[in-house]
Order: sequence, then structure tokens, then C-alpha cells
Amino acid sequence: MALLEVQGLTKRFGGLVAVNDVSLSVEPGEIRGLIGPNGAGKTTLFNVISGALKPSAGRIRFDGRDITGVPMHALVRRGVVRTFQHSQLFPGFTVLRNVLIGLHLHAGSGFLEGLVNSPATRRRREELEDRAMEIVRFVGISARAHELAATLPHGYKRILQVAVALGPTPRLLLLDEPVAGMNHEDVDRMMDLVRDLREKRGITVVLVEHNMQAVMNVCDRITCIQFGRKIAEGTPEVVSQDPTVIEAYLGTFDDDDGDPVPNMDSHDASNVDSHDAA
Amino acid sequence: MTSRLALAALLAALALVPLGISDQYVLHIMVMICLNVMMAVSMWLLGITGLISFGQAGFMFIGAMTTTLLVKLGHWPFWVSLPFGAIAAGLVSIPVGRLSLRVKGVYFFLVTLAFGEVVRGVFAYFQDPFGGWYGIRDIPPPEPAKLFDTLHKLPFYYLGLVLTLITCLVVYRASRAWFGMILWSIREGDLLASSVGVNVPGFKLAAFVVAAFFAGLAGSFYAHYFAYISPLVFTFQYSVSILVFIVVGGFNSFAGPIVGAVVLTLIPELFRVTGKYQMLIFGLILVGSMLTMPDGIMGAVQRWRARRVRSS
Repeated sequence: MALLEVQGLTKRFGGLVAVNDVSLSVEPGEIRGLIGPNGAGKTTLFNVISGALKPSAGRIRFDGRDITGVPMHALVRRGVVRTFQHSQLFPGFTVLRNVLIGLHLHAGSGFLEGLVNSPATRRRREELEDRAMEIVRFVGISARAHELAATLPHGYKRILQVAVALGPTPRLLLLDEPVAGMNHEDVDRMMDLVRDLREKRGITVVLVEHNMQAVMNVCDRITCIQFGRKIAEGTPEVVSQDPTVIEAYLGTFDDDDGDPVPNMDSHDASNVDSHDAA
Repeated sequence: MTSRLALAALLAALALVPLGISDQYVLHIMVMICLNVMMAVSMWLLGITGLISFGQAGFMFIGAMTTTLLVKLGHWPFWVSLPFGAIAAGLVSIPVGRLSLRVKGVYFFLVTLAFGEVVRGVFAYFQDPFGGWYGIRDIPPPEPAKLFDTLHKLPFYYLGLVLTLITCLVVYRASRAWFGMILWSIREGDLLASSVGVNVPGFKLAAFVVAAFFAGLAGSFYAHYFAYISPLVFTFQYSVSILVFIVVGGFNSFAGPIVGAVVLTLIPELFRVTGKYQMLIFGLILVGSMLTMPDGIMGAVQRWRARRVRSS
């Protein structure tokens, strides 16, 4: 059975239909890519699935249960966690503390409980700190565990974002442009991490990304969206050869001699795209 | 270890030194410091979520009015009605918080400011039982009457000190516990916090209620200390001056609001002899402190300490 099932999802903002009757299903253990030109509605789709926005129509099921309209902080408890396109961190906290806040759901944070600094509370805090450190090691940034998040280089910030999102022990992780603005080495590092999420933690991943090389390398299946509608779905090979996808990205070709695919591999073009993606 | 010793010494001094003070004016200033510290520390707890409430004087007024009516009309003993002032303020803050926390930033300032003015307006409009603009006089002092004699401030000082220490202890513990860490994280990034399961509106409301509760407690104590309350006392200006205590003391540490409240309560008194220039000098000192210590007195202290560590 599919882990995530989206049926006929539509999201309107006034007269604008940002997501139009999109259906997709993601199997457990899958790494799914979500691609499409700027303004295609990928992030809106993410926002609706993760509970940040309520859909105008359609249903979302997670692990067999209806989660349509469930707010984000409640959805997190069920194992659906997302990251954001723009680096969302706690900039004034250390790396370790950022990850520690991610463990909030495991903390038991009553106001009155905090007033009594009992040995049990302290032990619990130490356990959480150990767990945070374990996550920091898992994502491979333990050398910087005690630095302020604000002072990290860009690539590390994005990895830290994923580390924070691991706190609530997600079963489904929604990554919004995890490699936006990264250099080659950082992209590779992030893609290795995404694979590790599945291999070592059994996490199903859905990622929005403009970097085609990264998407093609890491994803099992890809869904392409244009003007809020799903226009193609399948393995990377199938989608990258799909004429509607190529047309969506590159426009119509006058002559059919040229190989249309190389442009989709281009790092520079895709990175420029991702900066102003709405 | 040294900090524990220093704290013990400070507490001992706070408890013992006033015994040697016979000047009632000095003792009165010390009671005022207690009140201002309670207000500043409670507002600081809300402030670490990034929210500034300009309605704290309103909650103080509700606390003061509740205990006053309970004692004067209901003939309750002071010791029973005192916590009820705080509880009343805390209860009122729940619906007020639910409404006002829907908006952020300046809009939150405006809603809380309006709340404070509504409280004043309501108490000023209904002469019965709230006393109207004249306020309410002859609020009985705490029992036993022999001890709490309005002409002798020492027992009031000790009562104020105990209430202040309770406020400080609760707020300090809360700010250091997981609860406080989540409040800080909301200021750092509320979107990220909610994405990992933090119920952001719930935590903000909890901080709002705790801040109102202790403002109400301060108000309760105020009413029985001054024996007189009126809408002219719990003004918007007072809420602003609490914010000034926090900003001048330093937002980023627990000691900030305490230091700010102590220093800024003392400074106008030191310049009282200058008569009409008192407020002018006070203003100049405020501006000067903000220019030289943008992150407050405690921020400056921390930087000075860091420099000393590095150079040694």
C-alpha cells in the first residue's frame, strides 16, 4: 500500500489555481522527485501536503489515514516532516541546540515540570542531548556541533536543516529544494545523505528540486508539474525523455535534430532557476 | 561555585541590610524596586518569544482591583485575596491572549496597548464598584494590622522581597527548562519550530498567561501597600517604562530585566534634588545608555567579561 496518497488535490488562491487536480502516490521507501518550471505549484503542493495550507479540494492519505487539513504541528506527530526552501534555522543557537529543538516531541515540556529541576528531568535532558549528537554525527557535521548555526557555510546550513527535521523521527520527509545554490561537492554530500535516510533510517523522501542531475541521480520516480497540473510521472529515464516535460522546460523545438536532454543536466541553468522559485 | 556564593551573599544582604535602615523613604524606594522587578521579569519571559506586551499595566490593575474588591466588599483576609489577584489576571489573560496572539509584531503591540486602555476605561467608567476616576481609597493593609502599619515600611519590604523572589525563581527556572528553550526557539524561527511539532500558539499563550499572572500578583501587592488604586496609576506609560527597564538592562539574559529595573528606579531618585531637571537628566541617561550599550547593561557586562577572558 502507498505511504502517501494524494487524490485530486486542488489549491486556489482567489482566481489563481496553483495546484490543479493533482494525484500521486508514493510507496514506502521510495525517493520521489517533484520537478517543474518556476511557479508550477510544487511548493504550494508541498505546503498543502505538509499541512501548512488547507486544500481547496481533494484528499490526502498518509499510511492509510486521511490527513487532509490536519495542521502542520499535528501532522509532525504522525511522521510527516518538511524542510523549507529558504534556510530556516535557529540562527542564534548552536548546531547541537538546533537539532535538540527538533527533538521537541520527545521532550515532554510541561511548564510545571520545568519548574522542578528533578534528577529525572535532568537525565531526560541528557538523553535528548545524546540523541541530538547522534543525529549530528549521522548527517556528518559533528565537527561543527558547537558553532552557531548563523556562522555555518551554506551547504552545512542545508544539511543542518535536514538534521533538525530528523528530530521528530519522520517516516515521510518532504525536502523543498535541498541543494538550491550549492556547489558540486555539497550537492553530492546532500544526495548521499538523502540515500542514507532511506538505507539507514527507512525514511521515505519526497523532494522538490531544480538541479536535474541531482534529481535524476537520486530519485526512483519523478513527478513533473506544470501550471499546477501533473504532466508526467515515471522513472528518471522515462521522464527525462518525455516530450511534454522537455517542452515544459525548454519550449517547443523547431528542429528535432538536437538532443534536448543536455540542457536539463546543466547545473548553472538549474541553479539560477531555483533562486527565484516561488 | 563562586556564583552560588555571590547569590547567597546577595540574598543575605537583601534580607539583613534593611534592618539597619530607618529612613522610611529609602525603604519605600526598595519596595518600588521590588514591584518594578516583578513587572520587568514577568514581561521578560514573554519577551523571549519575541513578543512585547504593552498591556502589562492592565493585568497589574486587574490584580489590584480584584484583591481590593475581595477585601473591601467581600471582607476576605489579605493572605487569601493576594493570590486571587494574580489568578484573576491570569484568567483574563487567556481570552485576551487567544485574541491578541493571532497577530504579530506591531499589531500585537497595538492590541495589547488597547487592552490596557480598555481595562482602565472600564474601571474608570463604573464608579460602582470600581471607584471611577477617583479610584479606591483606604484599602486595608495586610494582617496582622499591628505588623503592617502604613507608617513602617519594613514589613512591606520583606513581603515585597518574598514575592519578588518567588517571581524571579519561577521565571528563571521556566526560562532555563525545556519550556524556556522552546520560547527562545520561537523567537529564533517560529516557522521552523512549528515544523518540528512545537505548538507555537500554545507556548506563546502559556508565556502570556504566566506574565499576566505575575503582573497581577504585583498589582495585588501594590494595592495593599499604597492603600489606594486609580486608573491614573496603571497607565500605558507604566507598561512602556517596564519595557525600558528590560531594554536598558539587556534582553538576552535573566539578570537584564532585574538590573534594568533596579538601576532605572534608582536613577530618578538620585536626581530628585535637581527638581524640574530630574526627568531631563533621566532622559539623557537613557539615550546615552542606549547609544553606548545597545544590548543593555548585561550585554555590556558580558562583552567586558569575554574581553577579559581573551586577554588573560
